[in-house]
Amino acid sequence: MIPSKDSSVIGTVYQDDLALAERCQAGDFEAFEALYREHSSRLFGLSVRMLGNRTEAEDMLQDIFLTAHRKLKSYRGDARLSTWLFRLATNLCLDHLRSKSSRMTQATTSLEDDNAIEPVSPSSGPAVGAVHQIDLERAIARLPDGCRAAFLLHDVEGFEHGEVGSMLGISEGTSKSQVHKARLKLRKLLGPQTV
Amino acid sequence: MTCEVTHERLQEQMDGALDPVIAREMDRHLADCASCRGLAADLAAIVDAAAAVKPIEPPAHVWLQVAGRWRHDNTDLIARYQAAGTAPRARRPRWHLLVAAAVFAVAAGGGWIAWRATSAVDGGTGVLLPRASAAERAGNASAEPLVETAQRDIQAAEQLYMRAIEGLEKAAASQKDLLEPQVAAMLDRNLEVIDEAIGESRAAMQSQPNSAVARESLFEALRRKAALLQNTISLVSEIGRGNQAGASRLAGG
Repeated sequence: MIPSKDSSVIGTVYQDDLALAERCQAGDFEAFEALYREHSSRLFGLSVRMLGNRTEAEDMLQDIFLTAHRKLKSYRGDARLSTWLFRLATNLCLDHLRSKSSRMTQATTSLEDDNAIEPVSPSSGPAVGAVHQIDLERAIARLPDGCRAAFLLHDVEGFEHGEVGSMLGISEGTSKSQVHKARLKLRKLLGPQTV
Repeated sequence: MTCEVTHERLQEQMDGALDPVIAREMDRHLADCASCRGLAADLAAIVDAAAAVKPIEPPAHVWLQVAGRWRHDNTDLIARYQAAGTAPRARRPRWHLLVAAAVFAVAAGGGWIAWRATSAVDGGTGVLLPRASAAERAGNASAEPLVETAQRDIQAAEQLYMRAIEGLEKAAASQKDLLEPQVAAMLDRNLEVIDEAIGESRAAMQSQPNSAVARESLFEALRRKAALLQNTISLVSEIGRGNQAGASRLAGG
């Protein structure tokens, strides 16, 4: 999935996105509905995959759009509205997971600290073969929160590493290493020894 | 190029950011090394599969709840917007918004049928049981197996729901003509979605009779259907009386 590129740009300002955001802020329900229709399926997909639970993802989607409406005044049109929404959504999902993890007194994964790359398992050829979507979804659910977010934003949603870094509050280099780490973990999870 | 360096550079290759000179060196290494070639093929397959992952369409009721909460949270803003005369069809009641808001009002307020308030998860079995039945079971523990008693309680609770829903469906059907066609169509679509959820939950319970998740899912769907019908009836009643203020109050929770 590639982020929408149909917004007209003047300089670095996405005019269509900015106009829609301003209409939403003004209380225009139809604009708010248009915002939801445009972005809800991708944001719901992100929420389901981040939280691993559809019911929680439904509640999360509500929170994303209502929080977005409250915070739209901070949107300046200098990035796509989809990028701004994904930043908000990813951080709400991570906050939710941290809060849940904290409640369960489990250790959380730090994005900056957890950069160790999985050792590559030796093999004489491809270990994964054809990747079925259902297997991939299950494997994604088993990734640590931080690298799952980076993988979903980069490899699934198609954002650049710079954008992913900006969304997650990490450097571009950390985004690259998180995504690479996620791919290596997925390879291990999808390989014949664990399936 | 060594295997170690190849592993380090594979990520850049996947992202299309590899220097052309290094890329040629890597190609030579990959041609000779089956292990690195296997790793590169696997990572490429994962990247391709990830790019094909589809968005997920949220259920229709999520938008109804978002719209209801948005309206509820932004009463003053909406009023200002409409007063400014920039809202299309501002003079005409937006019944579909009122329905949406009303659905949220009941769902968020706990609902007119407080299933959750009268139920409990049995810590020993993970089975969702009405509290009264748990007490009854405590006094009659030796007479019946636990699971059979629980299933009977659940069936009784479901029947209660179904009877309430039948009554609400009749009442809603008799008043549906008062709704605008687009609102009636939206109501039908949402009822279809909920009915599908009820059907799926029942099927899950048939295949896994002791699944607390399936049971929760069924009662959640029944609760949503009852709430939607109840709100529709209340709203139509206000519309029928020509009471836009009452309908707005209802919609605002």
